[in-house]
Amino acid sequence: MATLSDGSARVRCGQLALWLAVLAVLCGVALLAGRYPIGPADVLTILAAKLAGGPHAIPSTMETVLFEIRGPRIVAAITVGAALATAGAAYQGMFRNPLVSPDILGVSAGAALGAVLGIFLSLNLIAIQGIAFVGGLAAVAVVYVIGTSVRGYDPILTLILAGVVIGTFLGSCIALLKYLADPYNQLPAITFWLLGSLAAVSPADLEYVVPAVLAGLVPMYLLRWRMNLLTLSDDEARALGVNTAWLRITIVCAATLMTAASVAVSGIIGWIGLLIPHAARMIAGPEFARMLPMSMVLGACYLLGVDTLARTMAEIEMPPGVLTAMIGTPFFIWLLAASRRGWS
Amino acid sequence: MKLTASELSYGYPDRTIGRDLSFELAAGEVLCVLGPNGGGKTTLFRTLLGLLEPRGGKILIDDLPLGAWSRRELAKVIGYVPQAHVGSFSFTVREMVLMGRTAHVGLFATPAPRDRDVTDRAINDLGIAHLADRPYTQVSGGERQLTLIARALAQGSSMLIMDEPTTSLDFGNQVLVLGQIAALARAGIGVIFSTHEPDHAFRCAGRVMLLRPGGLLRIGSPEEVVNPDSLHELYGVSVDVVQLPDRRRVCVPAPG
Repeated sequence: MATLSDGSARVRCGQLALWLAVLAVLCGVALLAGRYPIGPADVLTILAAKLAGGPHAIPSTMETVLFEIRGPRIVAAITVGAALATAGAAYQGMFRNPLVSPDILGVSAGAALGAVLGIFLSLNLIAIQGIAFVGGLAAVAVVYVIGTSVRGYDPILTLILAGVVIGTFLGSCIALLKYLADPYNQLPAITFWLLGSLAAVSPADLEYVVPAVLAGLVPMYLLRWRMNLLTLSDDEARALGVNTAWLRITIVCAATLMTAASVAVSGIIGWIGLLIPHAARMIAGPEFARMLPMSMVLGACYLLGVDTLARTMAEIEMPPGVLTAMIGTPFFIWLLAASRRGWS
Repeated sequence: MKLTASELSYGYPDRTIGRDLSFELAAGEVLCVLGPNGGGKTTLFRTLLGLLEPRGGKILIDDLPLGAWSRRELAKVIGYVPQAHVGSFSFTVREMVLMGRTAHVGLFATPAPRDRDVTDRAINDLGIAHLADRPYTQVSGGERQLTLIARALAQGSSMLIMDEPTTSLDFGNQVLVLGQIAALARAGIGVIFSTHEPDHAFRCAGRVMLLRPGGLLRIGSPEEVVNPDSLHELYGVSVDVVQLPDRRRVCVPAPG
């Protein structure tokens, strides 16, 4: 019996290693793929020269493409993909509902309203991202205050209801701003932002996005086993020795922080937070200590893969926010058919 | 290990359900709680577990007020076995039992080999080792109940509170679960459980508490307390208590 469980633990460790290897391969492909031709040898030469600090004979345009354009974009795709998938996985467990995505508490709607407002006021890119980030945090804070100040009902239910109501309110504010926006300059910008893209990511963006995402990801990873307890009823979890209120607010804060930071640079990229956790659960099982790291890696793989495809598949760049669902749906149907585990 | 309730009132902020309840439970004792739906059994249990503030009176655990215990320390002495439910996620039976170790696992840690050993022992004790790697959502209701008892056992607590552990189980599984309750008591664990079958009090309980809205009706040994008069008072129906040739007692509804 014990050997059997050890054996399956080894298999699952192997699965995580396999997907990390897939991620490494995708990084390599993403560095080489694109309009400007760069060969594997060039990449190695530049990296070696960077590390050694010495000069190299590779054109500086190539270095710029690698370190200013493709590199940051790869880091952004990995960061955003991992953040959205992890936040989704945590929320699905916490709300005991497999249909929940990271924006259930209004973080995307808040960030979107912030960004749309920024575009409407013709602010610069950094300001737009800043307002989006703050908007996401503020929306969840309002939802959380409303959800917890209503007493006498199931705390989870009031939280979801508050999230839905505030989300709808923010949605109509966005609609109003779209209606009022200048249809030739602002409206296309708003539409593109809402579609979600990593095209505008600069190295400077990463300086705040990566720390913000890590600040959410690290506590989530540390609490990964304890998250199992939140899928039980509140009474059960508390009787098992968990301070559920504390655990819940920690997870909400971590998920909100990383989702808001992600949405602020990438716009709204749907699908990942909802369905990648299901894929992770099908591969690794529902137990969070294994499922959460798997969600992180799968989310990173998926967004990096889709983003690489989005910028190379056609003459013009496709918005990855559109592609995530287009590619993801058949992939997910295949996964569902191939898996013996099903939803739960 | 001793649990003492004195002049306890329990209920919700806007509604007190029972008053002036006093009783004690020591290690190795089994207390069976009988009462109609809405009689306050679950509310009392939630109060004893510290999930609901007492509306008055005192609860002492090892002579320390309940409020002085942290959640984690309390979980090491009192375990809760809820009614078997189907969760949203298909954890295996072993993963489910392992969650019983929460109070022993550090906040940012994952279970240690020792926790896995304790878990496997609890699974063996309940005779469900063959189910350990099956999804909890796919085993039978009785097996789910045994899993939850194993989880409370893995918790390492010396007192268990079980909310209707036999409700919704088939006849065979009811007998199985009652047998486990008796076995737990022999192993020195104090058990409080509620049931809708007065017969169950005769099967394994040392004492019986009759609970109705407003509070305690009677408490005592099954032979003293479970009789036609008190059952009529409790449930409003006529019941015969019959002694079998081997002196065991059973309850049957009276004809007519």
